[in-house]
Amino acid sequence: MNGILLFELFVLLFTIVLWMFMTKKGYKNVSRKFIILLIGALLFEIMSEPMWINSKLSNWAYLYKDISWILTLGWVSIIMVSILLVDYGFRHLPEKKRFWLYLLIVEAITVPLETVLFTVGIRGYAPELLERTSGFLIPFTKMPIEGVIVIPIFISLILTFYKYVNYLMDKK
Amino acid sequence: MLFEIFVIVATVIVLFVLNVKDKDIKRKFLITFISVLLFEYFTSALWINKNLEYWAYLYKGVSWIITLGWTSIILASIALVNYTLPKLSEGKRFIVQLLVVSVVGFFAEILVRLLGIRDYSALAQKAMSGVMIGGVPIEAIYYIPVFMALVISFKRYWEISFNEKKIIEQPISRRKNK
Repeated sequence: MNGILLFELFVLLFTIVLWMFMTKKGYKNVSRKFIILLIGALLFEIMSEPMWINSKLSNWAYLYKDISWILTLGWVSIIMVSILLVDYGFRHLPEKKRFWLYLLIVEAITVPLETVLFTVGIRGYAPELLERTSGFLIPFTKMPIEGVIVIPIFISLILTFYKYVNYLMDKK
Repeated sequence: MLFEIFVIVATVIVLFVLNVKDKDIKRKFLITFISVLLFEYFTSALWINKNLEYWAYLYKGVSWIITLGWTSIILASIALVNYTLPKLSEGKRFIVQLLVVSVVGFFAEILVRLLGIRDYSALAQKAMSGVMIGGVPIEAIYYIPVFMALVISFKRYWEISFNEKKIIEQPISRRKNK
């Protein structure tokens, strides 16, 4: 079994375990929460698809062009974990403060992961995008420093989409 | 230059009119402006904003005038829907707002294309089918509503977080759990 397949299975398994954990712990509408987050992440991935290169994954891991549902599931799990951690550990904080903690945790998980994926070639930036970067890299890696800035930007848009749609559904 | 002045004047008028009924409009404006700017910065490699005055640019091709234009379109469209359909549930209003903003946004995109302000990078063109409607790629039918869905959600999330004490006390996603 090669490393790529192991990575795909790990993402899949992690998402299932996370879903089961939330269901067991009594969180309401767990499937709905995953679906909303999946839609938010997928919409964003389709829109920004020309900017990224997702390669080396198994054939079945791709949805359309090089958009991979496995990577989307990975984003979903990372965002969900950060929401769970912050909502559990900082439940006394108001939503507007918790928002920044969500971003901080996602950033802490994602930057090392994205760097590893970038280094092994699963994740890449389109050459036209690389031309626009400053040329500075995350120390000891090949990952452009802009990755650190861009992650919280797109996560903040996906996160607020998830929170708001969930809120609308709860209001029904 | 005329386009830039038109956008600034239109924004001032929109803010002035909306301020009559909504005293919170300045904050809503700021939140919407930030969300559009985040989106424009993130996807700046896909679009080319050209032929604007040098002072209209913020960073590389990202223009605060274009951001201002989108912000005014979004705020005016949302206010229009809220004003004409006040009895609709928020969820349904969100869908109608998306529809209205997307239609207005599509025509705005046609306008900036006609004026030679908006172009698409080679990166974006590679992903397009080449089918155009009024000079705008058919893909905009997907892109604009997605962009608007994310921006309107961001705007509403922050409005709710700032205004509704009940929601602030509990996470939005788990409000009904307790």
